[in-house]
Amino acid sequence: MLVLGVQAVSVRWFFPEVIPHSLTLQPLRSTVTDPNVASSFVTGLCLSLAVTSVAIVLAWPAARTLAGVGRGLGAAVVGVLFLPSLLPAVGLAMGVDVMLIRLGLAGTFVGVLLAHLVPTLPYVVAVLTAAFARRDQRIEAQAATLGAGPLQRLRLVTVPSMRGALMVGAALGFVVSWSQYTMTLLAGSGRVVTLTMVLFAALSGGSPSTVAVLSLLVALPAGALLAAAGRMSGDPS
Amino acid sequence: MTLRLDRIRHQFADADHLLLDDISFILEQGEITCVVGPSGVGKSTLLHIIAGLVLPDGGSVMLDDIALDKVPTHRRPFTLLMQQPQLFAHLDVVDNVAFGLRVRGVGRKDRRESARAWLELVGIAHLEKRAVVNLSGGEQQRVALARALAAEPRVLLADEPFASVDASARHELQTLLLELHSTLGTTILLVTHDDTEARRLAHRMLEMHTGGPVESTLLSRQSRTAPV
Repeated sequence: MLVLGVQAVSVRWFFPEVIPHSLTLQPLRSTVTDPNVASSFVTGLCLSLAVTSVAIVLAWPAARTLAGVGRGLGAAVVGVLFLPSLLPAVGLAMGVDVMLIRLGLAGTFVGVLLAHLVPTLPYVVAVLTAAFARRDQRIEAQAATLGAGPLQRLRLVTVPSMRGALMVGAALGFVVSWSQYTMTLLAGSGRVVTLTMVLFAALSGGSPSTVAVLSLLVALPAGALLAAAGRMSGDPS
Repeated sequence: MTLRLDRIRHQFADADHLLLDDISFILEQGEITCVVGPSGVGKSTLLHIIAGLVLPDGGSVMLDDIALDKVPTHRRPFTLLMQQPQLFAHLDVVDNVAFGLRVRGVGRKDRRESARAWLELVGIAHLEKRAVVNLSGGEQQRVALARALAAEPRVLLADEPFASVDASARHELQTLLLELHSTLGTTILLVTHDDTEARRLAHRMLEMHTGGPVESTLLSRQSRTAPV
């Protein structure tokens, strides 16, 4: 990250020079103010946040059920969810793309969102299943005997007691979605452009300073979220 | 208030015999009733059935002659004190005690004020802002007791509430329960496997046997062990 930081504000820093000749904010300024970069950053951010939210909503009941069916069966189902991730990224993305074309969703935000769920959902399910399996389910029964209805139990007991796991699951889900290149390229048909795609394009021909700035921009939200998740997962609550 | 169990039958799906077979009794208002019997006889299950956490295969739980069969747990006027305190780790002591009032819509200021009064009664007012994970077993069970009583139950169901603490803390908690009962007069149904505890606390003892009826014994003042 330090090297990227220096590269982002340096001019013509090439091997074997240990330090750059001169520093300037020009590459940083021009990259950040580039409308394509800004719009791809916003698109990527909205997409990954939406994918993470949908993944959590889908994973929550699945994880709760898997935690209750016994460790062996639960682990087997989570393993099956991970199977698509074993395929080469291009093969998986092409398969998903064919399905999206049939559904008329190829090249749309919703289509890319659905495509991102394939690699994202297993991580979120795995994290939440482990957390549900660890916690004492009688805590909800206790809340019920104190007068809490189903929604109150969810809001006042279950979600707060799962806060750490939710943050870790959300951070992992976000990072997996945020870093998708092949899946976004094929499912989005070039019409849904995220920052990761702009970075990959810059890698083949962009200046090192621009690549460094883009790399830092890609690392920023994911790093912030992972740091926040790390802090919250260490919280005793 | 009359709580009556009418011919309760229950068998768990993976068991080969009836756990509870035709259990009937009436709980006397304002008394401490202790349920005793060997392990596995269904004492805890009986409390869970009254609380609505387990639905019986047959029979009814009646409150003032109204069957509670279709009343969900959170609408039954009972609170359950479990063997493990089951405190909410994301809330501090005072908010744990105020939980039952919170879910009933009591405002923050009022419910915290009420919770502080309950903490005073159980002798741990000084711990109100502490995280519950940092309390001793005895302190945690006091918080759980205050929380259960703060919800103003018509019957306090207690499932071996003092079994997880050491002998000294257990004795203190038993004394506290007797003091609270003499002040509040709450009807209490307490499950214990400890005959000495039952004789110390109970006005009435219900003895359960495997698959058999419940035997009820009214303890005279002389036969109850005096609080120390």
